[in-house]
Amino acid sequence: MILTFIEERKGALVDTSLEALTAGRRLARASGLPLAALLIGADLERHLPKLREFGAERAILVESDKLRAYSPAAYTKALVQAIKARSPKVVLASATALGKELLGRAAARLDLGLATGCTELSFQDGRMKITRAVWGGILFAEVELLSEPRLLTLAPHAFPAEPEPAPNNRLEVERLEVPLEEADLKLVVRELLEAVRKGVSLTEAEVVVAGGRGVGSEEGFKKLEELAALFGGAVGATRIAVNNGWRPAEEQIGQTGVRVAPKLYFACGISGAVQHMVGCKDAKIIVAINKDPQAPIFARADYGIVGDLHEVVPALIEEIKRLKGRG
Amino acid sequence: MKIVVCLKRVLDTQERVEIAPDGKRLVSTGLDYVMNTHDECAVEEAIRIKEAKGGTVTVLSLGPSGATETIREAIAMGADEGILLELEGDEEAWGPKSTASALAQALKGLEFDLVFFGLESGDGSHHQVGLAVAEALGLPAVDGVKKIDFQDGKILVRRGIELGEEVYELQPPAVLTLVDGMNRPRHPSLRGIMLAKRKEIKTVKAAPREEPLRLIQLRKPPERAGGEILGEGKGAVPKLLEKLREAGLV
Repeated sequence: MILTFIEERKGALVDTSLEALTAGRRLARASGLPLAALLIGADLERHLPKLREFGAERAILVESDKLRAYSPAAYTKALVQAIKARSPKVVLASATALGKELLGRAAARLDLGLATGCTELSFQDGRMKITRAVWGGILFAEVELLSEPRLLTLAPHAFPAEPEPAPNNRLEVERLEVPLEEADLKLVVRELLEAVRKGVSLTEAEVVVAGGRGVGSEEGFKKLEELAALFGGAVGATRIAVNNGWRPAEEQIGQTGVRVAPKLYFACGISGAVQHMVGCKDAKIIVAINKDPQAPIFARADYGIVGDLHEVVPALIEEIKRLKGRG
Repeated sequence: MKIVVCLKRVLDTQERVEIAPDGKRLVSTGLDYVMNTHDECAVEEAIRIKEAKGGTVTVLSLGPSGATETIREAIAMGADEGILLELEGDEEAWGPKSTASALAQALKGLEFDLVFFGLESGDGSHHQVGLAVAEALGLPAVDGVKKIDFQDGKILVRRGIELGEEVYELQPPAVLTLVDGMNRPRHPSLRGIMLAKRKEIKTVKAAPREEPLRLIQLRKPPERAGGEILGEGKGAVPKLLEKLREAGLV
């Protein structure tokens, strides 16, 4: 069995769980093993049509009112028990905050190997080839898991989510009872604070205007905000800009920040260190504006302007406004 | 509050990410080691809590003898004590399982209310050690903490998730993994640096166990192809707009 952990938040399935289910299905079809989906929480039956749509042949539900709010210990217990009861060959989850935590804990409790942040998977002649992102995504590592079941978390958006029902379109549903004690529920989520959206979010923006050391100050980012607004885009920053207090940590792009893949990425006063580029390398077009003609960013951007961003960005804003006015 | 911070030194690759001929490590010649980014924030947070609430900060690191320098950096920032678990043999033989069991073993001999880790290491990026240590010690853990508040004798921690943030109420002892960006790590003071130099770092030898995850080889992702310099200064703006118009972006 290929067991995929499916995450539910506020009554909806998490999108990247369906990526994991799709990846699981490919492994299942290549190996001839059945594809099972594990759901933990309350009122889970409403998700069965979606599981069927994505080709799950079995649904394992761990349902309890006590599992309505997320508790790391209780959810780990449920996952560990499902693994012990069903002896899957592979256990997959999307590397969300919850997926990373659960598989990390289960791997420790069962003393099993875990490959985190996987970007490619394939099954050939009973051997599983695994590629994972290391060095915060700067490099990839081809690895092998020597213990079974093989535990894997999948980097979000590294695998597509594609529906395809099982050949006979059958979904067997089974319920697993997991006795929960007080100790399992000692640490539970007290409150879920949903992010307040201020304009378009950085990860979804089609245009990102990012600034680094060269921006020089909090004030300096005003012009970058203006440029972003003209495109209906979002502002991002390098670690240095965040560390200097010019921008909030949520806007940090790179190795220890967020990854973005907009249509257009402006890198203003950014040297282009690999640690930053890993966060924006999937942008369709990168435009670099930097005073230093030797900055590595110019070798990694599609278009470059050598010059002071404090002159170039305002000129760019004026020109776009002029075009818009004329348009 | 007694806090132990587990930290790791990592290679400061800068621009020179070069894979060694064996395909399993990076060329380290001429490069320095630095404190792992997330761990730096964990050290800073622990010191801030000590300054506000009293207590002690002990740093614990697994690494070769050179890692004492990283421990001294944390002491220079304001940590009180340092312990090195000195690994024997090849550093590459150490994976998350060995690291977690050596750290858990050492933590069993220490008194603490909280154990801090950085979210994950900048090199292996396994994101497993903090969680595995919590499991080994039978402690609750919150992974990916971005804020810690002390309110009416309660400890409230927030962690980022895809939807927003989760808030947990914590009862020590507990393990937390902390994320970069939650604070701005201080630069050590000159006095701190002098103090750290004289500090004795307790050293204990550690041996690895078998790792169930085997590295076959490292590889670089394809680089973006270099682009076109459109010109200098604001004179190049019209040319850029022409390119963006061609791409349908303006």
